[in-house]
Amino acid sequence: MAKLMPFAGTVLHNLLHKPVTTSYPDTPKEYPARTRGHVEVDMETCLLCGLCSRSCPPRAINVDRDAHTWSIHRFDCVQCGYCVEKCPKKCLKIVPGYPVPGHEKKLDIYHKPEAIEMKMGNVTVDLSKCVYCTLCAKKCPNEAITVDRANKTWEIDHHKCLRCSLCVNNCPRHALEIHEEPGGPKHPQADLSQCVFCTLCAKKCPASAITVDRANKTWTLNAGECVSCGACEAHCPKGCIRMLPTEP
Amino acid sequence: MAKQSIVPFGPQHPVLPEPIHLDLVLEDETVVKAVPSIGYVHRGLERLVEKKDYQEFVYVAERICGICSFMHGMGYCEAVEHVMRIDVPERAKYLRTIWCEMSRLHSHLLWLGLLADAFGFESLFMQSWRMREKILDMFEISTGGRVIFSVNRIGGVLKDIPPDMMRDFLSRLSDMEKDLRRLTQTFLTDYTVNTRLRDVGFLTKEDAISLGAVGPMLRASGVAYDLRTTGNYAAYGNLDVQPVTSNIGDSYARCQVRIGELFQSMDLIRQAAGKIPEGPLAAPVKGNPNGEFFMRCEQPRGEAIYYVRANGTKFLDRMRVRTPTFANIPAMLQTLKGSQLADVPLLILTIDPCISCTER
Amino acid sequence: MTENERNALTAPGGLIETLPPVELLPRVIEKRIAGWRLCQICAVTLKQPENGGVYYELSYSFAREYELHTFRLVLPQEEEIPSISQVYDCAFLYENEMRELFGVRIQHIAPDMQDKLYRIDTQTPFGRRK
Repeated sequence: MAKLMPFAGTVLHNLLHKPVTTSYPDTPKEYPARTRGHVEVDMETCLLCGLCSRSCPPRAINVDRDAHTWSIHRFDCVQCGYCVEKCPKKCLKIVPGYPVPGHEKKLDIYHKPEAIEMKMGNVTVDLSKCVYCTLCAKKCPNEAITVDRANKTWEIDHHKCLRCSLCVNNCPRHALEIHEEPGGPKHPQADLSQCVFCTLCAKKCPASAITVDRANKTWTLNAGECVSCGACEAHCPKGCIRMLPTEP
Repeated sequence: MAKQSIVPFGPQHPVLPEPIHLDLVLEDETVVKAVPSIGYVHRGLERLVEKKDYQEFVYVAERICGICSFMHGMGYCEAVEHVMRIDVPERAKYLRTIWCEMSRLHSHLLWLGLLADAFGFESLFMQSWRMREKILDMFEISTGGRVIFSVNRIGGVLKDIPPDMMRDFLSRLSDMEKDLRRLTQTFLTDYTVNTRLRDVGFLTKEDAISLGAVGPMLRASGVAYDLRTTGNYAAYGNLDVQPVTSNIGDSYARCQVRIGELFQSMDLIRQAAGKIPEGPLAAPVKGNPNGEFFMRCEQPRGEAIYYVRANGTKFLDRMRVRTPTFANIPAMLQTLKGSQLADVPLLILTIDPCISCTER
Repeated sequence: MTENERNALTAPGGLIETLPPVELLPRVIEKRIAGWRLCQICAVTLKQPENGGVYYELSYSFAREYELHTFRLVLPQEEEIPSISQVYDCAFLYENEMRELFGVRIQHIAPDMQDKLYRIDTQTPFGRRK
């Protein structure tokens, strides 16, 4: 049963009313509150643990613990929000506002003012409560904990530990603890009897705070420049540098 | 015997939303045979299960296609949830149902617009997509994205629709329904639209079943087959679903079935919004999946099968999506036999081709 | 068919039955006569844990009304199987895809696309397993 011109009503309605389209960008667009536009990070709370970088599906986020930066390739990010879910400190959030178009692909780098793991002490275990369930070892993002159920041993590599507190939060027996250490930020101290003056610590220092003179066999630290990241301690081949809290 | 010539159709054609290539064998203006060739948007997404663990893969699964995005994510999540024997909370099931039906609304409106564009009725194309914008706004308010929602996770959903948002959505749907009834009258009763659609591309009931057609293609040939009636996934077990069918079997019938499903979806959203219970949004997930499962769901284009096979590690062995367009292609080639060259773009559109789903 | 198997047909996920490759064609013909439609054909590339040998697991799924019945075949990499496109016309797409992407040796597909369905550069990219 075909009619002639059933569309005529809609055409007349459109002729007599104002257009539906808005004149963007002259009238700005109002986004609803939940729109996933771009990722924002709170560097004060960020631990640089790298969980967001490991879970990002397009690998747009990069965390450099030595250089102390958290960076994101804005063009690669697909605004999925998985990093926001995975962050243990909830310092990431996804907010309205799409990245502005431009001629180049933007790489946003954020610096961390001071290393939080140097304010946090070591993870300690209460072996009377531990049942060797291995949950802490499974949750550790850097594989720093080794638990042997048969032989009932529990070990942690403090160099690998990121102080992210995932193990402490997940232990079913509350046998693990981590506390803030008193004594302010830590600075490196070198044991000069072991030091071979290879200058590796000076090369790895992101703030260029260490000066090593191979000829005169001297090792000096500029404490004002030091950012307490611990890269020198991690890279020393002789293990003769230790990060120690400064006296207040 | 008349001389035969071969005309290549696609991969670029104004009427196609995605690239597909057909070699049409013609005698004068009548198509004798069509040979398909796909692979223009093959991204090898199924190999990514080896690199992305099973929880991260939800974000890849929902990016297989832009139109069917929500149901791909949901189908994958439901398959993994069956393998791991996770009980999804009731509220999450109802929310998934509401978003599924909204997906169906936006997909059918998109198809109606493309159909109007295929026979040159540009104003009708614009009006259909204008209706669709209202649904995309609803998606943006509730999930954060217009096309890719990122709201599914293994064990439930990530975001909630609070009661005032739900009331707002229902009032928007009522306003839209009045406009939609006027719009669909044009599709069903206009003289020129009828001439293009009626008696074009017949598919008999026996052919539809033996060629493995699914979805509105099958229902327009008289077979009442709709996976939502089984109630095996999301909250469809608690809702009343009747398959929308037609006995005619030509392109007009397929248009009629999809328009009927538009109003059925609105009714289902109202039913689900009335019955949704309070509760948590997601169940906790522990461990890794081990096993296999075939999950079937009713996408806007038909029955989609999600096959997941896991071996106990955090990477799956295999994830396979058999999309409805893949199953409808043989039926489409059958309807092309004996048709006129001018009707070919229309017939390809009546299966609602979603080639990026087909090729993954 | 046992009572349990009959119930599994309508359960979510359907019934999965393992067959030796020689029984594939006779069972498929039985399904065709009984009015079942072909749902999908899927291939998985796996490695044997003992010697690292590559083999395929093929799943042929059939549906009638709302029942789902899947035939599972375990196939070593070099073995050949006949095509079912002579029985079910619509199987040609799935079998061409399996041969082109996975390297499963299927004989007598009608019509045979000669590895030109996807037209990709790499040979059988899914047939390898790390």
